[in-house]
Order: sequence, then C-alpha cells, then structure tokens
Amino acid sequence: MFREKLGRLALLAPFMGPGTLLIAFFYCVPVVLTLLIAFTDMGRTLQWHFIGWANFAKLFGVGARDPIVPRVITNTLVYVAGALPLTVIGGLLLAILSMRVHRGAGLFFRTVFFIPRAVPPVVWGFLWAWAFEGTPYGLFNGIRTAMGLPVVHWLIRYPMLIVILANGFLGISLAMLVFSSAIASIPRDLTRAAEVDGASEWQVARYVIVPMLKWPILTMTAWHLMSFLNSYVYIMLITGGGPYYATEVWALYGYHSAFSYYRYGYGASVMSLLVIVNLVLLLVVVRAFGMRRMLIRGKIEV
Amino acid sequence: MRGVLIGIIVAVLGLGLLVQAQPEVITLRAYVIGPGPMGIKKATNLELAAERLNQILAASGANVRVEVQVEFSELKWGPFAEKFYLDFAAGNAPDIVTMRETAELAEGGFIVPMDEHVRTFWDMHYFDFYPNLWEGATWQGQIWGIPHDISPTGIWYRKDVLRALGYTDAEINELLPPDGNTTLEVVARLAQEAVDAGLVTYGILHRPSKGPGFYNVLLAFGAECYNPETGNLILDREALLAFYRWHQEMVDLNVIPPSPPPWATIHGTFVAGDTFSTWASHVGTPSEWQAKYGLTDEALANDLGFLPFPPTEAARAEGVGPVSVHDFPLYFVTTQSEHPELAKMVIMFATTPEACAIHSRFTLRPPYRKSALDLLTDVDYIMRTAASAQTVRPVPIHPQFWSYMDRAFEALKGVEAGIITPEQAVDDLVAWFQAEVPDGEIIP
Repeated sequence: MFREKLGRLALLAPFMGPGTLLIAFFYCVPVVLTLLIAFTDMGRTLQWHFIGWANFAKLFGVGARDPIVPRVITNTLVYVAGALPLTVIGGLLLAILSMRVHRGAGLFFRTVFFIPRAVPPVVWGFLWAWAFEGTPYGLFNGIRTAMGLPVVHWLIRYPMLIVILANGFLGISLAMLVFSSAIASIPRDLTRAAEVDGASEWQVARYVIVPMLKWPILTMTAWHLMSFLNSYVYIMLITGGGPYYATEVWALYGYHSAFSYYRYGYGASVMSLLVIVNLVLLLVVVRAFGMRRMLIRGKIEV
Repeated sequence: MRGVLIGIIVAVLGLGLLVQAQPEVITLRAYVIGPGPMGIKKATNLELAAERLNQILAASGANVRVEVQVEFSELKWGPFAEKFYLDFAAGNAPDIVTMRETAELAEGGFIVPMDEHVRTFWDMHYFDFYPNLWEGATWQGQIWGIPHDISPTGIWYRKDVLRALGYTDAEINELLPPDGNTTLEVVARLAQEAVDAGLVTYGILHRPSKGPGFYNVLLAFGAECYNPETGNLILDREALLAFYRWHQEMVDLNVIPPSPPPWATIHGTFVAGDTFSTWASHVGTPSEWQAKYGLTDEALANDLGFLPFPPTEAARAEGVGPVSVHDFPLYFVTTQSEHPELAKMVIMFATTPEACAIHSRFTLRPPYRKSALDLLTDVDYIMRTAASAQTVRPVPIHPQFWSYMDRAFEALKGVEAGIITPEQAVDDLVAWFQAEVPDGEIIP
C-alpha cells in the first residue's frame, strides 16, 4: 500500500514538482516573511523591533485606532460589489451577443473589448486618469470646454464609479474570452434544436446557453472576486486612492502603508489580513462551487 | 650570476621608486539627489572638491590622492532614501550622501556627527555660512551635515495680471511687498479678482503633495507643528481648523480648484499667465521655468513677483510674521565610510564660495554663504533674492514630521474635494496623531 502510494507520488513529481516548488518559493516564503514583518515596527530604515500584536490592535481599533480603516473596509466592499457583477454579467452579455450575431462583427467586438487586456497597465491607468482629469486638459473636460460647458471634477465627484468602470472593463475582456470559448464548445445541435422549436434569441440564451455555462460563470466569479479583492494597481494609477481615501481599498492601503508612508511593519499586517481573507474565501469557493466535481467533469455540461 | 644579481637589485629599487612615485588613491563614493536635473552641481561640486583637494595634497607632497565616484540621481526623495537604506543594510553604503532625513539618519546610526569638523574649520571655511542654516543641520544639539543648497519657499504671483486689473506698479508693491509684509487675505482677494475678471483659470495653485510649501502655509495660519523646547510635534486644533476652513472657502469661491492639478499644469499655467499665484514653488524655481516652460528673462524681471508667505490677519494679530521655510538637504558622511575625515574634507571643498556660486548660478537659488555673493554680482536675479537665505526657516527635524504632514495634506485634499468637513479633517488628524505620536502635544 505504502509502496503503491510512493510510486504514485514519484509518478506525479515531475508534473507537480516544479509548480509546487514555484508556489512555495514565490508565494509561501513571501507570505511567511510578511507575517513575521507584521509583528515588527520595521520602517524605511529597515531597522526593526518586535512589537507583538500592536499593528493588528491598531487595525482592529483596540487602543490606539487607525481612523482610516473603517473607510477602507467600506470602500473595498463597495468596489468589489460594483466591479464583480459588471465584469461577470458584462462579459457574459458580450460573449453571447458577439457569438450569436454576424461572425465577422462578433470577432470585431471581441477584439475591441480585448484591447484593454493587451494594453500595459500603466497606459490603461493613465488613459483613464487623463480622460477624467479635472482640468480643461482632460479628454472629457476638453470636449466640454470646446462646447462652452464648465469643467467637471470627475475624479472628485465620481471617483469610485470611475475605478469600478476602469477595472470592470478590464475584467470584462477576460470573462468575455472565457465565455466565448465555452459558448463555442456547446454543440450546435442544441441551439439549432431550440431554434427549430421556435425559441427566440433571448430564450436560446436564457434556457440553453446560460445553464451550460454554469462552471465557467462560477470560475470567473471566483477568479474575479479574488482578483478585485487584491487589486490596487489601476486605482493607484487613476485616483491614488483619493480623494481623501474615497477609493482607498484594502490592498492599496497595505501598499500605501508600506511604500508611501514607509511603515513596512504596519503594511505587512494589513496584507497579512488580506492573505487570511483570501484563504478563507478560497476554502468557501472550493466547497460552495464543488471544486472536486469541477476537476473531474467537463467544464461544459452536455 | 653577478649580472643577474645586479639585475634583481636594480629591478627591486626601480619598483620601489615606482611605488614611491605612484600615490595611493583613496576612492570615496557619494550618492547625490537632484531631485530632477537642476541639482546636478551638487554632484559635480564633489568632483571639483576632489580636484582641489588633490592639488593641495600634491603641493604638500602627500603621497595620497582622492577620487570621488558620484552617483547623481534624479529620483524623488522617497525612492532615493529607500535605495540608500537598502544599500546600507547590504553594507554597501556610500561615504557621502545628500538627504533630508537628519533625525532618522542620526537616530538610526547611519551618519556621523560633524561638530568637531565644523568647529575645527570654522574660521577658515564655515564662518560665513548664514547662521540660520545651521539650525537645519542640528539635531539634539549636534551638527550632522553641511548645508549646500537652499530654496526658500514663498508665493509667486503675476504682476501682469494685476496690471490688467488696473493696479499700478506702486500699488502692487504696496499690496504685495517683496518682504511679505501683508496678509494672506490680500493675496486671496487679488486672486479672486483675477478669476472673477476671467483673466486666469486658476487663482491660487498650491502643491499637489506635501512639502515645505505646504508646511509654510500652515505657519502662515499660526499652526506651529513643532516645539523646539521639548522636541515634540504639536497639533494646534484651532489653527488647523482655520487653515482647513479657509481652503474650503477658497474652493467655494473658485480661487483654488477642488483638486490640485499635477506639477506640469501648475508650472505650465503659471508661466503661461493662466494662474495668478502659485504656492508650489520657491526662490529658485524660475531656473526650472526657464529650462522647461520657456520663461524669458524679461518676463521674470517684469511680470513675476515673489514674497515670503504672509500671515493671515488673525495670525498676524498674534505676532506671526512673513516666513519662508526650507527642508535642508545636507551633505552627510555615513558610518560605513572607511575614511570619514577625508569625506568631510571633500565636503568642505565642495562648499567653497566658488562651488556655492557654481550651484547658485545654475539653479538661481540664493547662495548659502555670504562670500559667494561676490562671485555672483553679474546675476541680477540672485542679487535681488539673495537676502531670502538669511531669513529662511528650516522645517522641523523630527523623525515623524513628514508622516504628520502627509496626513495633514491628505486631509486638506479631502476638505477641498468636499469629501470631509474641516471639522472631520481635524478630528481624523487628531485620531492619527494620538495613535502615532504618543509624545505629541495637542493644543485644544
């Protein structure tokens, strides 16, 4: 029995080994280091002292509290709640529309919506920042000024909406790609049979396509839930988390604490909590979505 | 055999003579920050210093020479300091570094004190550095670095806009005298007039980030942030509230935009005459405006005015006067230097009147020592503004000072954007202050 197991492991090692090593080295080691730093007061000078739970106590408002934390938690929830449905529903709609309309037109729209994914993050971020700049030099304000309209301070009035849209559009491209591939895998007989039976486009989508995309939809939801929870790059580029923490999400707060305020210890404690939340969510997703079934069955139910 | 022996003796003697003739070269490394390209002379002056020092060493017959390898960086202050600390942790710190974080560096044991050096060479070299500058180099009673660059902050405004509003030059000089003997309300009123008349897009633009100019405005409201007697940071609730309320009012009046535009817009619109007043600059900024934004000598002489930050009326009534501040970058010698005394000598030669004048001429910043002025009599702008060096006030040297300013500035952005009220801004700041600055003093 033992030898049999050992044999199976030896067989798996060449396949699983490199990936496992990479994860251990580039994920587990940094996580352990981050957890250790979280219990210190390490700052920019890299000198440190062990301070126990002080950083976490500040985050949870025990004793000296960090007044920004409640705002950051609210922002994170709003941001994820806004960007996630936009991405999944938007991606699904685009995929269905582009796969069901004229082939050439569908390909064109899929290509257009995939452009954000091909653009470097800095370019994408600055494009949005420039488009919504609150001066006559911004794209939309330039148009408004040319039309004799006053300048609107977009990034002050609608900062969260703008970062949700910027991240949502980026997410849509990936979701659309996955859903399009999944739709392409659905046997044509099924949709044709529905059409022969007199089903409208809406009915085909609602009763044939969507039920068959259950696994891709769940996968994309789980993927983007984690992705948005951990994302901060585009927010940093577009609003910098402002104005006055209005778009400061948890991951960005961790980044700012460590690399703007140079409080590595505190930043590490912020990120440690994020790692824990991620692990809990991962377990929930694995159980709720039936990861075991997802792994052994085809992704499209036929 | 005899020939071989003679040959060996001749070779050894020759090698000895050769060794004697080749002086030992000691290499020093230096990290110098601009930031940006304008600070390059701070780097080249170290190379010049090595040349001068080597001339003296050669003349005195000393069998040693100095070579300085300077790494000039156009990075911003934060990443530059980060690089230094990483190199220090790796045991690879330079001998000389220019930074601003005196307290952090001294407290952490990164730099050596310079008292003895300054005392020794006072009569010969340091005697005519402006006395107020040493305050910016002193922490806990010790001198830690050598001043080598000053840029007093203040208010730049457009005289041509005021002329277009109907003011004569005499009236302008009376309203906004170069010594700053006026009030912030006067500046604001003129800015509002310019905006209301449609002459400019922006009345006043302040910095888009924390910095000496931001601290300077706090002082204009009487919001002292540091107690030099106790060495603690101060949070003055009332003064801060007045500060935030005033900015909120300025946004409501369209004098200040609800979010500060980026640097390029601030500089560009001011030079183009589309901003009445910028609070984001200092005496030496015209060199940057000339290099990057096309400011002409004529426009600088005729159309632009500068004054230290005047106090508000309320602060003035409490005895606050016009003030310019400066966050001193200093030449430091690191504790990892194997030749700290030699490094100090190089720094001394990098701050001669000649070196000081080279830096001032290039940057249009006032010289930091009096005798350099004799070498700059042909630069009219410097002669006009040089006096600002004698009254400039250093920003507090405290390890948490800039973290404090960071939070205060974020709160300002929140108030201007209408995200929080001035009261909330002060409450948040107080909460942060209580959590992070346990020995801080709060004035209710």
